[in-house]
Amino acid sequence: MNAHRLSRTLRRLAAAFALALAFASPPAAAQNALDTIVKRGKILVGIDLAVPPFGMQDEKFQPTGSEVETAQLLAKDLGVELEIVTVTAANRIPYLATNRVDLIMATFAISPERAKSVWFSTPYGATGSVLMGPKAGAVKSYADLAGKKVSVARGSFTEQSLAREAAGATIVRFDDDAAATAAMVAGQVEYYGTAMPIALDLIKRFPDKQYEIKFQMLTAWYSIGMKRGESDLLQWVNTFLFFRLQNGDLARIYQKWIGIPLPPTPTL
Amino acid sequence: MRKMTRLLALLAGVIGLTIAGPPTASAQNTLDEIIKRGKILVGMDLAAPPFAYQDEKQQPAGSEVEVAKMLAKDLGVELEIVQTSAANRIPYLVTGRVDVMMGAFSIFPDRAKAIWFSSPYGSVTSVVLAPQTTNIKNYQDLVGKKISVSRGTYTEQVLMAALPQGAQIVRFDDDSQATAAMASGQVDAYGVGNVPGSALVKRFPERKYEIKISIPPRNWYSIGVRRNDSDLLQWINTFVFFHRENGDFARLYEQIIGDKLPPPPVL
Repeated sequence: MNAHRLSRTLRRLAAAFALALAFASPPAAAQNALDTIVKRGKILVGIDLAVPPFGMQDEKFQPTGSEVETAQLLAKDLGVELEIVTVTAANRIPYLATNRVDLIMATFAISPERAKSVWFSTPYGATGSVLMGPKAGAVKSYADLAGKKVSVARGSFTEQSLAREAAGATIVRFDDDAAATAAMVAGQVEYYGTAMPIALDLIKRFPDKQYEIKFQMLTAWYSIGMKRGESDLLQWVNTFLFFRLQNGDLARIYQKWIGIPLPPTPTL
Repeated sequence: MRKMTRLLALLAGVIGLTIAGPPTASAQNTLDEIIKRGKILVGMDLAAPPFAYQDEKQQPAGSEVEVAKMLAKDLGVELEIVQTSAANRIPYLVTGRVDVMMGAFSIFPDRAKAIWFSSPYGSVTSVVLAPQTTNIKNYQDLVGKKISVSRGTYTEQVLMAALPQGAQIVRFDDDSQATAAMASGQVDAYGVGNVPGSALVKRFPERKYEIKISIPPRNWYSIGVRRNDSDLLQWINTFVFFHRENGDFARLYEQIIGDKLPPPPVL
């Protein structure tokens, strides 16, 4: 081996060593989504704009709703620009996995099944099912439904909980929510147990009927979703939610858009 | 030249090591492993009825077995219960013979030096039992009363610390004697764990016993994972959140343990 060849070999070895070092560098540091967002100066938030009043478009086709207002608050606290990426219930987890969004804020209900592919923050809002009826009606709980007629779609969780909790109520079952809604609007029943978005839509569509949400039946807590393993981002998001829950901002946003007080939020 | 060759060999060795890297905590992802394997290994001491025991067919049974089934179902994997003793629970977890540790595994700071605990979903405490007609609503009502207890038990220590002056502890050699003393009227009340206490209320409905007061501390139990298994911990905490909030854990506890579960705190 002459000196020239040896020096070439050493140079190659040095290059290989540098390459090896590059590959061996800790991946966690490279993947810190929180740092990436701050450095980029912009956060990509996936919001479903087809679930009013949580996420929707106003008359100028601008995103609005409780999730949009919460995302604006989050971006402000992070000191970055907000970019809303429209997602659907079906594509929100794939969008997160492929880095098209940093966070999901789409009335994203916490479930063990979804937690296999994403990390959930602590919750800051609730959806699920509610009991709706006339503003004048004096119903505040299941017990008050005794002797009252309540419509509900057959086979739903809402039907099961009415059957279990509302002893003494006359439960009028329909094949689907369209039929149960029609019975309500026609005045065939006074009360209606259904999914929160359906109730909110009816209240808006029939202002003359003076409907309101009487009480929350089943609660599905929603929170902010992010990629698994992003402990730094999770810690920041949980701190943001803690602060804005404690100072009442998130309760104010919920009341403003959903029209009922935010139930006391549990902690995850 | 030979020196040079040796240097090259050394360099090559360094490169090899660098590429392979030392085994790190971040390489461990038990959640992915469980899903890939299609099975979760849950450690449990099966000598702790009614939480975890073997039924007459030698099958695992109890409230913790039910929770383990819920956990495996939500993960979409098969459940394998690995029997441990109370003593080797932590070693089994740390050495990877199980993925998680259950079996009314109480949260204590000294255990947390070796493993990570999830948020709790069940608890045990001590109680004072007496016939329904006996007027005991708080500690002060125990003044002038005799309370039986089994000698050497945890409840005995707790009672000694908690009872007001003027309440008398009467010690017996075991719980059946302490129970008999209350049945015969020799004592007014009986101090015992909430779990055997609730079982006693159920077993003798004609004696009309009831739980009068709970005596702190209440020890909360949860699911143990290996330290730094953050992905698995996050999943388990989501599982615990979901079934805590929809009432599944409270229903299960009341059904199998026979006592009411207070709302679990969050860890």
